[in-house]
Amino acid sequence: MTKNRTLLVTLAALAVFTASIVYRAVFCTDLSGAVCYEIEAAHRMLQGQIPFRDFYFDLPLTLPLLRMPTVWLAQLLTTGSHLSAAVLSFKAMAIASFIEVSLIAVLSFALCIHIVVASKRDDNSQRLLWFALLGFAFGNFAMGYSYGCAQHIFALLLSPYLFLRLSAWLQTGLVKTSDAEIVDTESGADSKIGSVWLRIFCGLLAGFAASFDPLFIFVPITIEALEFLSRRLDGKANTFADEFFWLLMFSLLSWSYLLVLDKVAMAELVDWIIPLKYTSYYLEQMAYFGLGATPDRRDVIYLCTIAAIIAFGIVNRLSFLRPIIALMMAGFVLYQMGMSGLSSDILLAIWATCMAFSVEICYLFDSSFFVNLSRRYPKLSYRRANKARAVGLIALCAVAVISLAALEVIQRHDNLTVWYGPMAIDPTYLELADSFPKYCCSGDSIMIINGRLLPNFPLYSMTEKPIAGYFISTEPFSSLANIEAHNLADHMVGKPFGWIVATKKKIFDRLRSDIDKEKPGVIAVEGGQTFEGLEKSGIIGRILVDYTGHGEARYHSRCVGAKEFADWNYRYNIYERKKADENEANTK
Amino acid sequence: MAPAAGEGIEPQANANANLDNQPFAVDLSNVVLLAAGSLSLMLLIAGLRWWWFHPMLIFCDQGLFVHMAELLLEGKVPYVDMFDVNPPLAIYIQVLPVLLSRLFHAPIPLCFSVYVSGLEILSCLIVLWILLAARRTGAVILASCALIGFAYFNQVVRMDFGQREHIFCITYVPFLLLRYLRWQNIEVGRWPAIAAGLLAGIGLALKPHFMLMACAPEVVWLLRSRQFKPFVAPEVLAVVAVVVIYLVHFIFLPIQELQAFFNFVVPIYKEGYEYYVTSPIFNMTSFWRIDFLLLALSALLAVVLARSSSLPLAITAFSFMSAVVFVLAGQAWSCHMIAVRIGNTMSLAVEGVLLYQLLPLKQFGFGRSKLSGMAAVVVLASIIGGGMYLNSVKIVEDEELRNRVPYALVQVGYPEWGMGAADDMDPFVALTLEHSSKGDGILFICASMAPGYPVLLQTERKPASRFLHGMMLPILSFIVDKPGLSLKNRERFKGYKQQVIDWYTEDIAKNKPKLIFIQDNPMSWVLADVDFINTRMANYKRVDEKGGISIYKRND
Repeated sequence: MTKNRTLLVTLAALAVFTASIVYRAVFCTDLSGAVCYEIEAAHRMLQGQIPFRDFYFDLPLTLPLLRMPTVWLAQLLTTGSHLSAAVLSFKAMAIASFIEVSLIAVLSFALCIHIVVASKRDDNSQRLLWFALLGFAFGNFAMGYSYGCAQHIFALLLSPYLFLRLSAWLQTGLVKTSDAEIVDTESGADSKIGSVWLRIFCGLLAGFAASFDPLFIFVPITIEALEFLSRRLDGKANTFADEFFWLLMFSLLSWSYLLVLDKVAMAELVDWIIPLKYTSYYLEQMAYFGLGATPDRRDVIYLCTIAAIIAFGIVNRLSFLRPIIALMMAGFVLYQMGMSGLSSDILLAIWATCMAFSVEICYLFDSSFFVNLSRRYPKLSYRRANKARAVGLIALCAVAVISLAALEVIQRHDNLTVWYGPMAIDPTYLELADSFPKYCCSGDSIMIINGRLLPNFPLYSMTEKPIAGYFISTEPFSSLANIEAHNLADHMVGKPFGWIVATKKKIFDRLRSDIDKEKPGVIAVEGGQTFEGLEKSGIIGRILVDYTGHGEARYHSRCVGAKEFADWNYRYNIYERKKADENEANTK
Repeated sequence: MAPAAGEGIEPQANANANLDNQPFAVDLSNVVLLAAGSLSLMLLIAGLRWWWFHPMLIFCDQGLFVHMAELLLEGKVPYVDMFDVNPPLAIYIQVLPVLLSRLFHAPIPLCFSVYVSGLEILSCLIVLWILLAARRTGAVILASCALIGFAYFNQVVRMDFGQREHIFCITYVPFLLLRYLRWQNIEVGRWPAIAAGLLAGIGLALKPHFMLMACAPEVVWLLRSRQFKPFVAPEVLAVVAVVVIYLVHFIFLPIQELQAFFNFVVPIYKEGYEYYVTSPIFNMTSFWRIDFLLLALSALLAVVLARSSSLPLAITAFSFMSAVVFVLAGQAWSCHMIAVRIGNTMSLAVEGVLLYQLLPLKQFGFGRSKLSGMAAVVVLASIIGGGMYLNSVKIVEDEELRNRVPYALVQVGYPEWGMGAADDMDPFVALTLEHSSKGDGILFICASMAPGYPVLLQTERKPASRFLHGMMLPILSFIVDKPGLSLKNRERFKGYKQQVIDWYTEDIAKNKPKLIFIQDNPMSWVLADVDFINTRMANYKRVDEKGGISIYKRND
């Protein structure tokens, strides 16, 4: 009977995981801005450009490395299209990204299944692990339109490692003390699961994924530290886990590209890219999030709290929940530190919440609740209790899948642009996305300067036009403006005298030279702080020599699927490059 | 056959690991209670002393409710003669400082500070009273640590001192610690339980979502102990009684008051609440990043220490639910974070002492009894921490005295109270004193409670309108311009906006305020729709402008 129950959970996990991939396939042409940014970097690297030196990039290079197969696949899918080699078809890119991410998900899920089966735990432990896998499947479903973002891939690649550790901690965590009772033991060492190669491979995957963000490495460290302390307090032995060693090693190795990086690129990275990024976080860079309208992911905070409160109530009986809570808290901290408020920053917390709920459901099904119910109501025999469990599980899975799917559909339809956006205010307003085809000629590059990564991406990718010049993200402009707004001196940002002025000159000179050399067909400059900064430094004056202003275009979107974006200032000044004869006339 | 239902995972592995109800020596308990109680009271008295030297200091929200209580005692009807959005209990609980002020002819801000500090001390004493019942168990040590955390947090609160959320926390903490003992099946006397219940009932009834926050620890304990009996306890009945009495009292309120509250105030704030809402991530990271990180840390430690005690888990659950309320409320206002911060302080204090178990003392022949060791840690920390705290208080006070610019309280009618601090006075006080006399009516048409409060309290001027602050106007303007509002509702709220302007007009004509303060943004453009300044304030001339507020004086 117990085996049947385990089988049912196994089938449920497989079904939900399959549903998550199938459902995502329906929306596979969605691509989040962050993924587009990484794909653009990968594409440029494959064309021979060197990051930091030839184009601005502020993320670890393992991310473009991860996206390279996407670029190759997208190029294959784009073969024969009218597009130049400099750009990829957005649709092909989105499909390629979906295929790559889904393959990673399948690999990770399959590995986890292998680990669970290979761990050869007793039925109860197996069932717990299968419920955790059910959580994995729900987590994959709940990624929504942030599917494929760094945190999602990290969660996928960390999972085999996590399941190895969960299985190891489970082995001596539960022992049978009587026929009807299984309790946590007080002592005993955790044990090795699977072959050495499996453990190395899991460590490799998790270590590689941990290099996607400098903060990611703290996630496995937090889980290990928490478990170490807990086991010590419980009087259980802690032994060395070689997979953790491999994780740390491979994570370190993943940063080794820094040792072979081009000298100029390294200088750019160390001299101003990292300091500006770090200072922005330190100064709580307002441009990263909107004061009034970041995407509203309060639902995740609420669900996370419910899962945490239930876990607090049962964690002393079910220590299996401990690492999951650690993952949840680490995800919550990452969301805080990311400061963007975008869904892509809260994926790890979503993942852990799904796992926590699944394990809590397992606890509910295995708890005395059902037993007492059948005792209290004699007509419900144990056999019926098992049926009730099975029906309950199927019903819960169905409700959860439908809710997640419906939630995403609602979010997509909750397109506030329709209500509050430019068209609602005045139908004559021009949408930012429409301004590029309107004013751009075929083959022209474009440039959006707004001091942020979004909504430049995915707009750049969707317009299928080359990005003019170095700055594929213009975050450095708002970072500098932020430093100036705080009246910080050079030493306050840990730099020598004159650094702020020199950096400012450097990035503005670079922008000016990009405009001169690349001659973008359309330049869009966001109003407000960014515009003022460019005006003061003479860039706007420079633009007006060769460009014609076409007034404002607007971007106003709050939580619209892959275009999820934090509004700050959504008015963009549009400049169209003058035709050659027009320019000549001006010169005369 | 495989194990039957109920097989897994359930029975607590090591009952001995749970320190909550482990036996503990009474004499050692007394020492712990004495040390922790003394430290907590000392911290709270030091806090009271600070407020005593700032007799005129009160912040805007708190000032408003104290003033409303004063008006209530003068016979004014809430939501008819004085408008605000909060349920009336927030006003009732401020009656006592007003009475104290009248009795001792003391400045109202000082009476308010003494009242809130007194409440803190009362709460601390009730906790000590409750903890006497737990002297035979380890719970006494952990609850003592929570008490120290509670007292420590209270003495650092400044801007939110006496806010509704602060009062809720003060009144709720004895109940929380009592519930902790109750769920450990530790017998507590009926009277301390009733006292804690009555106090908590008042706090819980202040805002409906406080109930949600109080439910979180109960869920944790229910899941942990799987018994329903603790729900039937004197303190719970006392809470229910207070809430029921509060709800029933609405029946006896004047009909105009009820109509104004439920048919006018509530719909306006419900429809226009968005006016104040800022983005969740801005709220969470702009000012409170450290507190949210501490919340995550306390949750992690609580999980590590789950076997040892349920107290950190329950307090962290409370903090988490308070964080949810903060996120739900949608603003970065500090008062909404008080419960999270107090929860963090309390749970980290408890976790700090529980981490004692990790010390490798057995290797040195110590640490045979965890509880005795922890008791020693609490006592030592109380003595050393207390000494260090007193020293720091002295250093801070000396520094403050050196920089203090004295303010003669004779200027605001309290010569017998000597000198206050100039920094405690609102910047608009001098202007108000210059252009008006005691008893004159003053009108503030501003989008927030400041600077009307604390100016009206510090200068003891009368409010010249039923609108003690002008929040309602920008909210109504926001609603009227809101896209997606039905035509019917738009007309309804347009009517309300006109009604508010008419009431302002009526109040100005009737009360003849000596001074009118109008905030340039957004009030000037909100009022510009009806050319308010030219048509309703013909008898006034602009005398000054300060901090984006124009000051108009009546031509007498």
